[in-house]
Amino acid sequence: MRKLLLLFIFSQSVLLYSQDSLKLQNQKANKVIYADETFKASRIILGQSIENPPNGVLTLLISHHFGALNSGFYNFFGLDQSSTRLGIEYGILNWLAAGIGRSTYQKTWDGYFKFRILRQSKGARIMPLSFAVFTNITVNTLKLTTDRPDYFDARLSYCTELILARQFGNIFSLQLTPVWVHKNLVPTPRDHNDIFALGAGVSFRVSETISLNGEYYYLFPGQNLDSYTNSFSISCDIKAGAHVFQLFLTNSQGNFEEAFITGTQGKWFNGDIYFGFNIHRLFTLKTPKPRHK
Amino acid sequence: MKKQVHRVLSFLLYFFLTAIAFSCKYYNEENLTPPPPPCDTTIVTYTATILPIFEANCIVCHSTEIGSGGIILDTYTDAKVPAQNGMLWNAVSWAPGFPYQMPKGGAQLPSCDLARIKKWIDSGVPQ
Repeated sequence: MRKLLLLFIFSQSVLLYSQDSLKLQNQKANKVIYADETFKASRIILGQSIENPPNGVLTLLISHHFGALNSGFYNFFGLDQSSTRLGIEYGILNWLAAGIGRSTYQKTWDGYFKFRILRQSKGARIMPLSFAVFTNITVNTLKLTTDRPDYFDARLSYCTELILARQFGNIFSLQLTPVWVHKNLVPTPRDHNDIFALGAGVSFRVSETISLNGEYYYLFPGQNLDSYTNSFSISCDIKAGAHVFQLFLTNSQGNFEEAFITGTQGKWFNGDIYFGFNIHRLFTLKTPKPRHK
Repeated sequence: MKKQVHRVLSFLLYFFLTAIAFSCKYYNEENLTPPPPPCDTTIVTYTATILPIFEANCIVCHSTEIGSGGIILDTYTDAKVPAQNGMLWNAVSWAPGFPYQMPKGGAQLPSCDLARIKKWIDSGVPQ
């Protein structure tokens, strides 16, 4: 009899637990859980990440590359030289951001849009990947040193990227970025105006505030770019309130897509390594609307 | 309000994409650089053709006031002398074995200027 009573009580508690668990599962199933913070900032290191500034948030981005580490003690291992980009980007909507910036590298201005098309999620709506499209225009404003006519459209270049990213749990994120760069002006008829590359980026979340990132851009062969190398960078990201600091080592001198994807000449094994940092400072200009609807 | 914002943004987007599409060019430096103009040596006279070359490259040393090396090129009468005795052509063409290469310390005259000086000398140094 006692055993039967115990069995009855036990079965009731199991049933009750199952009902609670089912209720919770139903609640979870009705809610969409989005992947948050696939990367800590809108840049993996040099290149674009899947992230956009939220609606109403202005990001000031300072990107600084020092000179090459192999430039010797006289140049203090590159600290005497610099290549800098100042830029701002703004979250116009939750899915649309725009930015503008200027680099000292060839005195280039750049302007861009980034469209967030898909967002990785689970729960009520399952989306395995995040997807965004990035497109920019750059203008080289160096003075001409030759006698040829100075056509404005000869100073323009364009870059379009398809950004695919996935966050694996709370630890690891991966991004693949097919890239198309179009340069209106190239040096010789043998050079290609259209250049294609494939970028890959990873992020390991060490803690809530620190992550380790890596980034590589592979130039497809047969594009007459034998004198250029693929861009490879590693960084440590530190998030502190409204700031994200990225300290990185890279073999690229330029700070915008056309420069570091198609214009990298440094070789890691030669010591052509540039130490640099990115500072992202976020200013909330208007209270952002909730992103998850 | 939201619809208006969306409309403005859509317009900006279409404008941006259209601007990109119509601004796509396929230039290279070689096809942008115009070919040099053809060298006209039909009629070459001291006053119209040769004196401007001397003024741009030679008069700084070979003026009446300075007369470096005894050579004066800023008047027709004086310029005729080295032109007719061969010194002028030997100097500007950097003839092998000739001790002077003119302009002194500078690059040789452009090929079109040399062709015009040669034509002037060969046609009897007309004024």
